[in-house]
Amino acid sequence: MVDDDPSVLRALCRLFLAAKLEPRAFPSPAAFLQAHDPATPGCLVLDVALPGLDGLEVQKALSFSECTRPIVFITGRGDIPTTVRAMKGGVVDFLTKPVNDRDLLAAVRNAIEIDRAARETQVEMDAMRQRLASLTPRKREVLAHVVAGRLNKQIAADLGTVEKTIKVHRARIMEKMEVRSLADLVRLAERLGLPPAGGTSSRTS
Amino acid sequence: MRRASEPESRDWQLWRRAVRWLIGVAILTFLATNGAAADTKRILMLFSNDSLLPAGNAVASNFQRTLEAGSPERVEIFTEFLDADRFPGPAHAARMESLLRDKYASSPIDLLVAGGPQALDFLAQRRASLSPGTPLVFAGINEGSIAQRGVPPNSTGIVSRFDPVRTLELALRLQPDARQVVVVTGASTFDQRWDAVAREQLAPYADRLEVTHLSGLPLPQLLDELARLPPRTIVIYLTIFEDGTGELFVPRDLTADISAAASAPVYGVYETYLGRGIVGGYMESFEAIAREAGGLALRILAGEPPERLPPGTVDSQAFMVDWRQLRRWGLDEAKLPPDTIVRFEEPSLWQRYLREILAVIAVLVLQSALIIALLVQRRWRRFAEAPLRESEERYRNVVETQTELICRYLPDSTLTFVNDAYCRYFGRGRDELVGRPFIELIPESERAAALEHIEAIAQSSRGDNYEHQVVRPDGSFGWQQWTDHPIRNAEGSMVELQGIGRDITDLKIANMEVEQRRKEVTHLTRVAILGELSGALAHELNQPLTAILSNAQAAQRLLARAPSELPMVSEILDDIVTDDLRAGEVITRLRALLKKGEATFEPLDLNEVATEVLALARSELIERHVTASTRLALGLPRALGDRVQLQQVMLNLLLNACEAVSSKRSGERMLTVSTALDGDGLLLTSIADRGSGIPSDMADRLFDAFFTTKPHGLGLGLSLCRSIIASHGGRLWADNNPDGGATFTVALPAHSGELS
Repeated sequence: MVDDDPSVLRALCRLFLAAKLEPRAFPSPAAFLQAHDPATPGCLVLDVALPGLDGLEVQKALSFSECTRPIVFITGRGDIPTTVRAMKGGVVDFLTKPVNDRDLLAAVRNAIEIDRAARETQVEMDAMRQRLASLTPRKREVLAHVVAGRLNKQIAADLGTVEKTIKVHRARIMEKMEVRSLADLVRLAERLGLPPAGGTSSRTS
Repeated sequence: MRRASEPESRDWQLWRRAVRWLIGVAILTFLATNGAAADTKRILMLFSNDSLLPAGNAVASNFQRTLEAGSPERVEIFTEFLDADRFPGPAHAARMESLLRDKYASSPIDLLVAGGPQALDFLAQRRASLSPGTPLVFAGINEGSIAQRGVPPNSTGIVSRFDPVRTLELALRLQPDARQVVVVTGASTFDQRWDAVAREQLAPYADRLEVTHLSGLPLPQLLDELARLPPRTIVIYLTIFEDGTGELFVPRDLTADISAAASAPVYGVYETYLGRGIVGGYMESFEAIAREAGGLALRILAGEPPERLPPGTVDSQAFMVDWRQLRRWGLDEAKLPPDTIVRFEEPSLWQRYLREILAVIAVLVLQSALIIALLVQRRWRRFAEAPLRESEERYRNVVETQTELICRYLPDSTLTFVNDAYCRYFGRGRDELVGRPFIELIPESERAAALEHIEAIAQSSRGDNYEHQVVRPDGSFGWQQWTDHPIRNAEGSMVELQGIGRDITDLKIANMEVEQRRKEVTHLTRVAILGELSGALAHELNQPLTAILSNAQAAQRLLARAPSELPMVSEILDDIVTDDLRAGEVITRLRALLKKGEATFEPLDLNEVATEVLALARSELIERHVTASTRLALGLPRALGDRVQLQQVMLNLLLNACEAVSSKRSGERMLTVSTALDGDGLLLTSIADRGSGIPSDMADRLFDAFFTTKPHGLGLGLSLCRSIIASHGGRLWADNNPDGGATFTVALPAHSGELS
């Protein structure tokens, strides 16, 4: 939580504690950014009007550092332009003070969930990348052809090898990438952003 | 009583000397006169008629003059008058004789003089008893009379003659158109003789005139004839000693009758006729007669016996006329020959009363002169006084015609003078106001102050302006403004006070309305400012409210969870109270700012005021990304002012400063609020910004009303700020900073109780 009003910080702390959440309070955006550890799961509750950097700028700062921590804005001002700007920047929720506990907790829990989900996804992605990295270059080549939907025969012909070898590669890829079906593999490749090989695909990325 | 020991006073000495001198003179005079007694010649002149006849006087005075001039000795002349015409008869003569005898008993007469025939007769007869042996001189007796009487012994005299030709000449001059001459004579020898002479002498005129002689007629017939004379006739009356009936007359006595009876002017030849009715003639003059007689007298007195001096005649004769007869016959005086002696001239009114007339004229002239002098003096005085009167007039005009009230009063406020305007204002007559204290006209609540004010003026010597309420005739209250000053007498002590006043009710009301408007405008601009801050203020309220809400809801959850959380709940409640109060303060401050009240001056800590203002504007500053820094001096004395109004000013300046830096980049929007005490003991509050400064062409108009750079601004902010600061006795001005931006400074005097 970042708010320059100490009593507000205190009150919010108590609220979160009462809701069995773990609040960590910062009186200023500078203090927060300094102590910010992107690895800590959780969301950010922020007032828009803060001396120094206002909430929107904190938002920008975070996005620059590729931290996707979800933000809940609470503010004394409810003017539309600020709201719109905030929403465009990817804010989870925008609440006006005085803020009702249910609304706040709901938004926070939502944000935490989003954060958790995002982290999970991140972890998955990291794993997947790891596995991808563990593939030999040859196998990565094969992978590209496989996800393009080419038959083994075709792939062998393209790569100048026999079908059998391709089949073996395919099995090892599936195993290493930990997928069971071709469809999963394709999906995985998509998720990793691998470009399919061949000139038949007309998919645009 | 004068005491012997005292010295004589000067006055007494002078008096005694004068008396001695006078006595001496008297003695000498007496001696002189008596000493000369032996050398004095005494002459007794006796006139036939009374003393008032001019003829007699002329003779007497000329005679005296001749005697005095020619006599070696002193001559004393006694004149006596027989008045024989009025008192004829022997009885009177006897009385006269007796009188004269007694009178001159002790004064021996050296010469007797007889004037006229009656006197000659008297003296000739009675000289023996009067003054025997005294020679006698007669005069004024004509030839005929002498011929009748004969010359008495021891006598001589002057005999008068007559000249009919010259008399005719005179008549012809006066009556040039006369055709007839009538010569009147009597029947006596003497008469006839003269008639013959006349006939002879008048013969040459026969060709021109018809000469008629009425001679020897009985008197009644003569008179009758004379009465029937035709016009243009000349009558010459010679003598009538005896008329045709043989009656004897004195020719002179008939003159009157003849003249009265004649229907034409009558001329005569004897001077004695003149005055009895004749016009005039050629006669001997009395002066000549007297002179000749005087000459004879002198010779006799010198010793010559009268016998040796035969009666002589007079050489000089003259034309003589009776002025009255000229008038009677309408004869022109201008035709008279030159050197004619005009007798019996009745002076015209002018001549007769010359002295009186002159006196009257003199009086009139004097009076006129006096009147003129007075008039001139009056005019001159008026002229000299004109400026004074003019200025008095002007003053009176000013006092009476103007609309201002003028009064004079005693120190206890009793009125001694009020002008018209004063009376009119209070709707009372002068007599109702003068003598009463004007305090009565002032509402009770202000009376004490007014009396104090009078005392204050009495002490000082200058006038002072003073305003107070009055009760107007309709019962309503009005306002008046007075300028009073004391009036001192010559010694310098105050006798009265004079006041000049005017009704300022309308002015006061207008002022109060203006004041009201000003307050409203002040209020409205404050409201406007606060309106600008509304977002920020809302935020200020929101914070405590947010805290309260979240606290309360947290407490709810905690209590629902477990009672052991009570300590935390207690904390929560504490915080709630604090935040609520905080919110309340904001509301209070807001309400204070929004209040449209009178300015209440109180001692203020300017740092406090500045801090509060910054708190108010905090959210605004944050929103605009303006960084406000403070440099508040410590230990400043307090200022005297209205908190709300000063906050309004600072807020205005603060927001202006925010506006000024809004064009700068986010990190460069800076302003500084500082307080300080300057060298003159003034408290300075400055708001300096880092904007672009004040353009030079706006510098003069910055504080003007309705001058604004904001598109939707009223432009009243700075002008209102200036007037607020002015009402605090301070100044507000702006300077450009050397390093960019502008600084607005408010200087306020320190509260007098604060200065060490």
